[in-house]
Amino acid sequence: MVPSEPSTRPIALGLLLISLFALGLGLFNTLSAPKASVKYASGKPEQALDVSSLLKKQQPHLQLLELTGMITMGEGGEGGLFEQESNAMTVRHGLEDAEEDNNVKGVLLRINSPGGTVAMSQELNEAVKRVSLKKPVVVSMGDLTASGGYYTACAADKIIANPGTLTASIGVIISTMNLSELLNNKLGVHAVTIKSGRFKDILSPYRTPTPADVQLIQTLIDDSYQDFLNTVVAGRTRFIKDAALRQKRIASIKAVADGRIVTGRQGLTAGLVDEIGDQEVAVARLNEMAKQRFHIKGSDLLPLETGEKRFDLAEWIGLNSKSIVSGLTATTPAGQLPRLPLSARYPNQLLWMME
Amino acid sequence: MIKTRQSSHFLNGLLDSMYGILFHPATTMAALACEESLPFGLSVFWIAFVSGLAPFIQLAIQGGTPTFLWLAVPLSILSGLVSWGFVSILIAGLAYAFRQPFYLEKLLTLSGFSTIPWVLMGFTLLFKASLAGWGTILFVLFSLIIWLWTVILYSMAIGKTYQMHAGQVLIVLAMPFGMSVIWMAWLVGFIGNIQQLVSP
Repeated sequence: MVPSEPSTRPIALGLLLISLFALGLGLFNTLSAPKASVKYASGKPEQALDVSSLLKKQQPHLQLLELTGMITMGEGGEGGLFEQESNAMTVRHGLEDAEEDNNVKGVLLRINSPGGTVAMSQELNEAVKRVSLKKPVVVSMGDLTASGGYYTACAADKIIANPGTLTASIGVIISTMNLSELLNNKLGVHAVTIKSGRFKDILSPYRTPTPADVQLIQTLIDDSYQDFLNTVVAGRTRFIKDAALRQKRIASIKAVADGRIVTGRQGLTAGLVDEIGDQEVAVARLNEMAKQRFHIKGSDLLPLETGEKRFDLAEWIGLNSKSIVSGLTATTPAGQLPRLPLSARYPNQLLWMME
Repeated sequence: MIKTRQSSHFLNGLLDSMYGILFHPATTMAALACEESLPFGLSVFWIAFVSGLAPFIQLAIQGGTPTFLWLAVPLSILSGLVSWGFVSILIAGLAYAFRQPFYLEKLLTLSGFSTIPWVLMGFTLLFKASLAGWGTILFVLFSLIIWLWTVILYSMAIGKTYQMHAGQVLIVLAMPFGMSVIWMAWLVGFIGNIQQLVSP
């Protein structure tokens, strides 16, 4: 049999029992942590452990998150062989991480987005709000922070825009195409629809909307718009203690909340923006706010972490979605999708907060 | 009475094999290779035990709601036993192709014991559970050490079974990997050719 002495058996038994006990303790620790279940219930994908980034992030720092392009919940990019996480989802996960990480002392959210779906914009707004309860969040606007992009931004503690940034576009939109005349009169094609209720084929491109359809859609739009306006008002007035100033801010916001686009400078006047400046100014402000909130002494700027890019197999083997799409849309200007109505470009999405 | 003696013999064998594999692997494996009845049963137990722990380890690392743990444990044990058998048959088959004896039971026995270091994963979780920041780094480091330890023991198991030296074991381990790459390239080339033939 195996060479052994009686004295080795207690050692082996001890090792086995201690290891099992440690496993039990690890399990208890993980399962009793309240955040863990929330984190994974939200469908967050597992992330590979990066030792170098762990070493780097031991010290207090600021976190930069970049929200670019369409705010949608679906896969990112414009298609491709491999499903990618949308930028909005990546930012939401980044916000969750920043909220939980005690070494993150503030979040700089750089936004360059025309908006997106209502639900995803609302999710981002809620995520920013949650982070904002624990640590300062500053938004730095790029070229465009409109509609759903602004919906996300208004939950931040401070909004900084460039003078020429295009922002606001506070409104909700549903669009469709009415192809009935083209199909019926020009092509002689007659669509046949069998439906369970009179609104089941609402916004169908095969027929002209009825007044009842329009009224129904309008209630939908009005409801979402009211939520948008309330969210912007709540976000932009939460730090104003004086009632008169508060009313003045509400009035100035409502004056521009008709879907119009404003510049960063006009946004400052309307109370949609706190300060004019670039990303450097935003970093400086965030630094001040973080130091004040967490009582960090010293004049040095806190390091700004840009976050790691998730490993993308498709990109790694040269099949990134952008290269594929640029081939498919060769007739359109570089980097742009054809200007089709939203309903045609994104058939699964209905309600939009878009510029 | 006989039953008690048998279970005590099994428990002693379990503890002796654990201590021996962890601290005197070469001597222990040589001794296990000469044994007849108990070692194979012990190796099955170790594989089942280590595979059964896997879902708990995963859960402790990642968190989540253990709704299907009752199903995950038996499935993990089953998949552990199946993959253990599959890899062993692959290596035994390779050895047989090169005119070595098949020795499947011996290989299964020794390779089963090579998984013993995985039992120590609990220790590594202690680092993660109790030390913030550096604890995670230590957890990763010790997990890597356990993984490397198991690979070395697995290589020793192959070496002891077929009386091979380290270089030969490395070739045996590298061959299936190399062949799978070649087969994959052939398969891609074959499909590509078929595609060219059928496309207009």
